[in-house]
Amino acid sequence: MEALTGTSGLATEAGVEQPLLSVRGLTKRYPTASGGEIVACEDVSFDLYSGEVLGIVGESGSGKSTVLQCLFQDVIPTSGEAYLAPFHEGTRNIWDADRRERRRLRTHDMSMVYQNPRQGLNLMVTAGGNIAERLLAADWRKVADIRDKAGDYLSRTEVPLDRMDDFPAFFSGGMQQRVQIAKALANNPALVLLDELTTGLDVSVQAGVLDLVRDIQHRLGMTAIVVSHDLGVIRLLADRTLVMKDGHVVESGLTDQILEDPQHPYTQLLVNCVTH
Amino acid sequence: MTEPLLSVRDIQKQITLHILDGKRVDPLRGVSFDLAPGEFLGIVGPSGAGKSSLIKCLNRTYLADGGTAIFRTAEGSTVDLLSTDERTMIRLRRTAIHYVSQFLKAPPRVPAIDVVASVIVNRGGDPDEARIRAAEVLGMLGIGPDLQSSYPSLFSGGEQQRVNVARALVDPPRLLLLDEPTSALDSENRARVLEIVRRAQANGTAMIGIFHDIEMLTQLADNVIVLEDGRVAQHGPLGEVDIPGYIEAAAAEFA
Repeated sequence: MEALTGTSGLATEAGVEQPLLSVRGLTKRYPTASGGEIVACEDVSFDLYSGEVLGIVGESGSGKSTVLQCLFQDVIPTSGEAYLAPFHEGTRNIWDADRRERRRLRTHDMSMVYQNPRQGLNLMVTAGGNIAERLLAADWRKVADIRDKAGDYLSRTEVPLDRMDDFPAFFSGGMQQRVQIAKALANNPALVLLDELTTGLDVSVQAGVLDLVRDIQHRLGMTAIVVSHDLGVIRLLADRTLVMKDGHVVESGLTDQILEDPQHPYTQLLVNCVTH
Repeated sequence: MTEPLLSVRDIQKQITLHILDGKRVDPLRGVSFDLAPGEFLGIVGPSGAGKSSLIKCLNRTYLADGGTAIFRTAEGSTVDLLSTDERTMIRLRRTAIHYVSQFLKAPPRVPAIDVVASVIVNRGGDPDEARIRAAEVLGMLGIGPDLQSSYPSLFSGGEQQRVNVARALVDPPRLLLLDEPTSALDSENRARVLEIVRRAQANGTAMIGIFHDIEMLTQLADNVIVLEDGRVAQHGPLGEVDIPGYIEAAAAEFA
């Protein structure tokens, strides 16, 4: 991990590629009713470069989803800094954004695919309408363009075009995820966040969704963070991986190295629990 | 004399198995050698000698605990493979160094032709040309159009190995790391692999290859290292190294 030079912000050594995203010291604590505290994640730091897929693996309660929720600003961290290249050229902490800037980050620069499609989709609006909503929020205005784009992305995610005007409430889980993915990609955000993308889906359906994401990632070169407890998903999609336990990053490295030569005792345990 | 493509000094690797109460294994205890551009270096040794560990360290699949492995890139700069950042390693793996294991590890549900073509596409090549080239190499290895459009997960072990070899050689990089890539092949297919590997060599690709197959080794290697117990026991040109008896015996079993 490259050290930030001098002032805060994205590293700006001449001739060296800047990360798309730099996270430093991300911490989120929740107060409990009895006056104590739960540490959801603590002191999480990493860099992410354009075109890369970073995996975050860990079991329930590891804090991995919290990291995404903080980045997407569904939740505001207790402390920490994150610099994203399209946001003031990486010189301002995204968590210092005002309401308008925060909305813009969520509509233009980042998108999130949730484990539960109901969180990412508006079920009262058609499949095509969901994508249109996102495009409108990202300041697209021409109706014809919007409808074309919606159709284009639905077909890329293999949602049959004749279902474009149907309501996702009546779709299968796998199809709902595909609509979510189409929606998340539709305006080409700089960063896509995928939270437990395939958890809860049947294995054969999982396979289809993963193939899709992999294919899209290769063709569009999108930058993504994939959170999963499933090592198979991480192996398939991520170039580099962070391992989280109890809110902390315990190990990070190239994905094949994490899986074949795990250093930390917890990673060794995780890797040896399941054949993958 | 040309500069070495790769200079390895004193590689060390220890593995601590926390899940076995901290049991420690030392696969590499100080291995050093130079590799010239276009050289084929064969690595032999008994099981557990550290052969796979060595090339996995060079590919960063294993994290070495000590030593350096200075690699000279096409642009003329040098990189220590053991300590460089992950981003550089990812780039090198895509463009300059390719690791070929015994077993094909390909994403499921991708046809064989695309598994091979993706190597070129990932380097920025044109997808259509990549597929043409992939079909050519697969054809040379006896994998015809029918199999090319099928999923390798449905293939026999030997067919999978041939897809694996095709992937390594469709657009040979500066350095190939080969870990027994022909163990499941019959003699006819081994001959085909030999042919393709020779062509890549002629085009300047350097290779470090672990072969239990004495025949492949003697056909391909310029120099040989005998690894024993994580150290170099012998290192020299093919004709001058005393290939230990147990290698020949093991080779006889596979023949």
